[in-house]
Amino acid sequence: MQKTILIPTDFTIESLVTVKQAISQNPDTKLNIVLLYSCFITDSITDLLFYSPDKIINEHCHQNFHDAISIIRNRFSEKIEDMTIEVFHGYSVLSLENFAKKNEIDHIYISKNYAIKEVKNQFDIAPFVKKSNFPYTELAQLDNNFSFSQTDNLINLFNTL
Amino acid sequence: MKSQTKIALLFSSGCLLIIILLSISVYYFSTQYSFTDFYKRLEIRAIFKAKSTLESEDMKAQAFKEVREQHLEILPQERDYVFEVNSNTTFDSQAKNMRLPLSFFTELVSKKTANYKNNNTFYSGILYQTNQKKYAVIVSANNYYNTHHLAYLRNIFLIAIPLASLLAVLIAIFVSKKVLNPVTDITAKVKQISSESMHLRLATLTDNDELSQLITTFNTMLDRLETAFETQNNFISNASHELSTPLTAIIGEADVTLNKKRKSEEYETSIKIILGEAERLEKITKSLLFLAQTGFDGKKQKMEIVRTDQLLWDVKETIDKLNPNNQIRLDLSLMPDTPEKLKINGNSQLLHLALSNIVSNACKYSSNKPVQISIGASQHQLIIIIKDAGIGIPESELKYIYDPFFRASNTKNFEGYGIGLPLARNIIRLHKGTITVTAQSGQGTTVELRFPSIH
Repeated sequence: MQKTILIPTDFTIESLVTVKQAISQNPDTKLNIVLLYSCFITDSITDLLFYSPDKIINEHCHQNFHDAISIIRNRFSEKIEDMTIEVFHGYSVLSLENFAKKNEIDHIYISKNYAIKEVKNQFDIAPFVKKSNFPYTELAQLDNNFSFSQTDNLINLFNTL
Repeated sequence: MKSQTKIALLFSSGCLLIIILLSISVYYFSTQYSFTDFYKRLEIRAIFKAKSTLESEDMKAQAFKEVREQHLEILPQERDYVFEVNSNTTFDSQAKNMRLPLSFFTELVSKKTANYKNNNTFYSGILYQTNQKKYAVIVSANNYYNTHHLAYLRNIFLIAIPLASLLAVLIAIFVSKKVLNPVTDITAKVKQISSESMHLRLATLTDNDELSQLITTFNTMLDRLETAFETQNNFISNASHELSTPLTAIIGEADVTLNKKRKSEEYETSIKIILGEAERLEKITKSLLFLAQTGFDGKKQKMEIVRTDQLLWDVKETIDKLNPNNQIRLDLSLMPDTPEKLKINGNSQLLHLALSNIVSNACKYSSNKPVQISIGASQHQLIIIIKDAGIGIPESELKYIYDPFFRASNTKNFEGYGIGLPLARNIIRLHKGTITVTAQSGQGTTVELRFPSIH
């Protein structure tokens, strides 16, 4: 069986913990994982002229994030069919549903403990996910009051104490 | 030779060469031009002479004569010769008269014009044909232009060349000074920096040229030197302190014991104390020796393929023996599927030493709170993270943690010499790995080790 799942990310290690949990939720399925980076589209005409999603991804993706992704892929190389990063600009429930339909998403996983930071022009799609009719699961760390001690450190990917 | 003079010499000699070549070519070509120009003047005069004397129609001849007298100025020492040329004329007498070589006349007959120059006297001749008779018309004059104009030009050059070269030399000196000034500045400033004033830095320039790059490089080098200096100073003072403490204890104990006769039990206890201190001394010197050896070079160590998960279990086992109360947890949740990714090239004894140092530190400074060892593999690296919930390291002291004998200010209640971490770092460097320590005072310490994987 194969499944395509969507997980929001803001290029922090913390957001990738959800990936780990989502994989453990689907023990016998091969997964196509789509990491979704949501941000508002630029206002500048020149930037729009040279618009490229890859450029946006490269701009935000740092070495630690790359390493974390390859750690996860190495760990679950049997289960992960593919892992891609997509950029999303729609600020509404409808456009999120359209995006999910277009990318043939089966399920959305969001984190209970970690909210996507709404800094610069990026935004959190969790409220839209909750409002939509799409099947979604909210995943929590060991307990509900958990918070990460250091930000964007690779340790956060592993089992935390 | 100073490079300033070198630049000046190179620049001025280049300028001088250009000036001299230019003047010589100007002089040469103007001389050539003045010759051809003068021959043409003489030829025109010869034609006029021929027309005015040999023309059969009187009116025409008169007109030519008038034009010649009125419009053509008389050249200095202008002379003209006209004589008839037959098929059997030998030109011997004429050549003797006019002091001209015979070749001039043969050329005149064959080419109908001929030029000749003797010192400053120029000869130009034409062969004029009228009424089936041939006449040779030869005009000679002194080349005034050659003697005067060219001499004047030569004088100009003779004065201008030294002046121009002087100017070139001055400009060269100025330019070389201007170019090398920042360098001399840097030299002067660097001279001020000695071992006593290592904190001094060069002032950075605003523009991003080669020199400001040089200055930045200098400054970063000074940063490194300063840290190295400090480390060295710290090392000596700390080492002598660490070594002298047990020695003082031994000497004091022995002194007191030898003061008077004592019971054999008392001797026993004091010898035990001395033994304990001596053992401590041995431990310190041994670890120092090891630190020095690992710091030298990587050639001595034998490298083999090491499986890191096995290594971590071994480390845990060793620490379990030394400190049974520890709470080490091996987190294998993100261990890669394939064991190939876990293999690194290294010396298992050294790696064991480094890892057990780090892990036992984590146990020690957290008073046996849980310590988590996580392992994962990225594309090209193997990552080991050791996290404790201990006392941490004050942020201001993080940069000194690799100094031998350095101990953070919050470690007073824990025993240690401050050799473990520098030793671990040396070993990790031998394996081309990196070690990153992030810590906050009271919040625990996280040590991230990265080793290049075999693939």
